[in-house]
Amino acid sequence: MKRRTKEQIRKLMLTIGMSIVAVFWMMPVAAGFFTSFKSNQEVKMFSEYKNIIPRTWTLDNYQYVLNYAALPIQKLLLNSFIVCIACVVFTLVLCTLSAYAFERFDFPKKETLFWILFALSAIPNVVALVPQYSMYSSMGWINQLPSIIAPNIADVFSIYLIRQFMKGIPKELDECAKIDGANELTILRKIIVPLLTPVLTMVAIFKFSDVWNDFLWPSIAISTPDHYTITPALNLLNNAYRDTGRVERSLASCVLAMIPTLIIFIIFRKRFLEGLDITAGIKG
Amino acid sequence: MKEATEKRHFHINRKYLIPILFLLPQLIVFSIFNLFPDIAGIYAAFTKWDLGSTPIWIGLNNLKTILTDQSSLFYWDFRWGLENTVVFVLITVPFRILIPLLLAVALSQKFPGRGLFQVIFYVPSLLSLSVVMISWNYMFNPNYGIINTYFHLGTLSWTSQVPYNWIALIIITVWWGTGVNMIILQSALAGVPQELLEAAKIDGANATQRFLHISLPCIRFPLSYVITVSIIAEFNVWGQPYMFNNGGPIIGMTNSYAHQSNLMLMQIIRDVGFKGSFGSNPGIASAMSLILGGLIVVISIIQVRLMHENAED
Repeated sequence: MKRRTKEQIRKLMLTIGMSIVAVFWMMPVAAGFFTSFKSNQEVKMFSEYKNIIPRTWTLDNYQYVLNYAALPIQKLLLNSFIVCIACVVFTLVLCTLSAYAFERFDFPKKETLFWILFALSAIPNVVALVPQYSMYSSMGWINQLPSIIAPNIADVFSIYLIRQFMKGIPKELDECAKIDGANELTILRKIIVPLLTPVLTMVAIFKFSDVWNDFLWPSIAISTPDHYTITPALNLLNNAYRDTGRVERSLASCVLAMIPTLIIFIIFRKRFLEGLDITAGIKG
Repeated sequence: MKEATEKRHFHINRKYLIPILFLLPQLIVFSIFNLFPDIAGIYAAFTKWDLGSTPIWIGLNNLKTILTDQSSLFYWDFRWGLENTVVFVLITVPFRILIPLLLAVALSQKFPGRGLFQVIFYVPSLLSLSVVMISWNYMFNPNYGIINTYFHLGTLSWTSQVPYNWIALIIITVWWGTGVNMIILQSALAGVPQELLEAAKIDGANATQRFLHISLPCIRFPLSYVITVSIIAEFNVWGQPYMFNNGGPIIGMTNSYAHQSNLMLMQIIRDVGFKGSFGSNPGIASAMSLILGGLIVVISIIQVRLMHENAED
């Protein structure tokens, strides 16, 4: 009995302690969110009012941001969607095909090729930065969306993940289908891919959020507002609004930019969080 | 008989042909868009190159300039950029491991609201760099920011005063990077065999001893993964100081070159490569990225070996 109360006190302490940490942890996001509904005057008076939650709520900032003609946020979000979805589709197709080749076929030097690819893909992107720029500019791709899609497609780590998962699918399934006269592509499409759904979802989610958040390369490759993606464009929006002292407008555009990733996170929360530990190769 | 061998021969070829066809799209895309720029980048490090013209081979001159030529701006750029980056890595990474580890340990206990806390601590990792920086710029704003107001710090400038600029950047980076590490460590801790922990408990080991002698050795692979990935991520740091204080305050002058407190190597590479005050110098930028890249490769090799070892377990 005594041990049980002790245990319960411990749980209570944990909840309280974690709640305090959590409040601090969420502060930047919460403050940003609420401030995006404040008027400029209220933002500037914060040191007097000390109110995180707006006294009077206003949608003015959102209206302004959505109608800001120099960098139309709708267009930026659309560009980001196009880029992310293209990257996800290409990655899934190419990586599934190669994972299948590595896992279900034998050919000379298979493992060597795999680890060579793995090692080559570990060359940091920074090395390729300048040549990448000159290559795309000679291809006429600078300021075009393909320039931010192409370098994100070939993803050896995704092959690794899909391959690890494919190991768990019994080979007997393929052989049965082969006896029934199915060719390799049909086997992959009809039998393997449906069973790969968990790992493919995970690869898709990671790719989407990686590309959505990509900053360095897009900020170099794209310099026309029409082709900006949201993450580098937010920086420019922020510069524009900061210079005029309108931080609440920057924050409103941040809230808009956050919505897609948050929706995806909420829908796929379980898979997202589970996926992370497969990433670490813990389950081997 | 002859027909049979021929058939077998054909069969073997076909056996290799199919996987190669499956691999081909990936190999083509990888070679053009990833491998070729990498090789060109390594080559460019040994050339004098203006974007648009043909690079001219100059051997080790670029590397000599950035490593030894004290009269060159690039030497100081590189040196200070690397110093700043290494300092940043050394200070940030321990926090990026310890804080997620503490949270993961706490979240492995059973208590009400556990799932919600997990989501709360993970959320920052979902945000893009610009969202993170805009939110934190507001938090640290000297005139109407949350932190200065609530902690009564007056108009303390987090962006331009040493060491506050470092403290702010470290808080931001740790906050941003904690989520992923925490989840990985949490699921690693969940995989520690309960029997071992129970047995140790019966033998009289306390919670700290159980953690140090049982849990920690059990999670050594995920832990080493988290450490290497964090080190690599922080060597690439660029966006936080860029958006926070664009390199930060000048803390010294050498040969009339300004030493900026938070100017990271990545940002220098970007500036030298694309828009430097002395015009762009892709050869020098490539030489700098070669060294930074080399450092990262060394860390990656350690990680790949660990993964390899782990996969074979």
